[in-house]
Amino acid sequence: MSHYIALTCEALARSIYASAADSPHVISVRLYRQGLHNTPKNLRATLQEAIDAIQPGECDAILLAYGICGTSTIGLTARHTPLVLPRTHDCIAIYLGSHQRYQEEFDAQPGTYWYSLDFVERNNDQNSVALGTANLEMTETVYQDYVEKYGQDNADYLMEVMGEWGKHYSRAVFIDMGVGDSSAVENFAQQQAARRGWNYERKQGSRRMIDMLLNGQWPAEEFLVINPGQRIAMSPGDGQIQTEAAE
Amino acid sequence: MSIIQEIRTSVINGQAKETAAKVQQAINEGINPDVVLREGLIDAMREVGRMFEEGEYFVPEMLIAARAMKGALAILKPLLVDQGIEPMGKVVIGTVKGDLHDIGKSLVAMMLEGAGFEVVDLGTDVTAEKFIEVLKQGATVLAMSALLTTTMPQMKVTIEAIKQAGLREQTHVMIGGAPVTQAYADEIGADGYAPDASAAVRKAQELLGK
Repeated sequence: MSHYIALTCEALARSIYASAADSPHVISVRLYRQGLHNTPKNLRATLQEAIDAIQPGECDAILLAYGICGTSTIGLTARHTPLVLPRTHDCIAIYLGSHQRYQEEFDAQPGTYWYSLDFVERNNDQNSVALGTANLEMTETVYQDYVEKYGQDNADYLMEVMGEWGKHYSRAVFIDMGVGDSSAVENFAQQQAARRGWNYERKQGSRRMIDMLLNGQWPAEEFLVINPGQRIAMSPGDGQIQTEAAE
Repeated sequence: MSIIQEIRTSVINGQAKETAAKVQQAINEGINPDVVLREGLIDAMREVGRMFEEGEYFVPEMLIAARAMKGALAILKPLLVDQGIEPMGKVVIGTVKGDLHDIGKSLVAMMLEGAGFEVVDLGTDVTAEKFIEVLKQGATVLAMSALLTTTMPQMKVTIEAIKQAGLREQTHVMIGGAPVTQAYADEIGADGYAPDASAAVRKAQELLGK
């Protein structure tokens, strides 16, 4: 039996708690605010600080319940304890259970808006209501602020430009992770889809990757283990991750 | 304040209607359209870029200034063509295949136009083939954007494709987008990287030796 500390994005909270409860190992879960990836250097600093605060011998490995998250995890350095990171771009792959499943979904329909229970219920950013969007949903408050600052004509224009992204989407998917009561959030996702004229789908999520992470099953093709003295780096050209010696 | 200065101020303030009216007035008064372009619009957008870099302006201010500039440019364009005035260079720009994010890319496109470039904006989800088509029509700068690490490798794919098409030598490739870095640009053999719209203009000018 090992002891792991799982540095976890809020967006994965319920699933991590559920898997942690069942893990053969002792898991200490620490949550960090979702949406930090909007400014990758902030998320990187938050996680490195958390890693650095862990004392030698406090745990056997530090698990990062994250993906590349817009390069937020690139550069994270293992000090005395190994780090483990799923080889995924973001939480959507983790919700779906594998990078491969996410890639298939992405290739089939890149214009997909993803919803999950955790993400919506923990959302404290009024401007962002679904996964992978950053402050794109304009609210009435923002609009009024623009009218005041730039005049109605410009405010309307800004609404239009910043709302452009919605035109490129064609599908809303609610990912059901099978924990908690997600009916209200699912209804919300359905309403959003109807309002924007997107197709609505509900997909069963999978705790496969989360279980593997927490259970200590880290095959090299799906997980990156960063040993002491190493850090996370992008591998040249292909958008994948690798380790390199920390300076 | 001279009419040119008024045009400059109204662009900086993002006043589209005023800018268009004043540009029309300047033309009616017999001011050379090229002077209106350079001393009014281009100079205004340079100031907007500076204010953005200094943290005085943010994306909304840049967007409305660029909008005012574009409206004015539409009035000037046919007149400039009549006078045989050439743009700074022709740029083809787009967000790479599989990536649907376009606010940053559009801002770069507008800033380039504001600096006097002819810009062909192919929008989002642009394949290498579509970029190549425009390069064959005389564009010499290829500007690619990606917001996702999932789609970033498409930049490398596109560079390989323009090599295959025999267009690499004559094309200046510049890239940008949230996950993109100078190191990534070096790795995939792009000629330049710019962290924001204002820097993108300087990079395009630098690549063309202007």
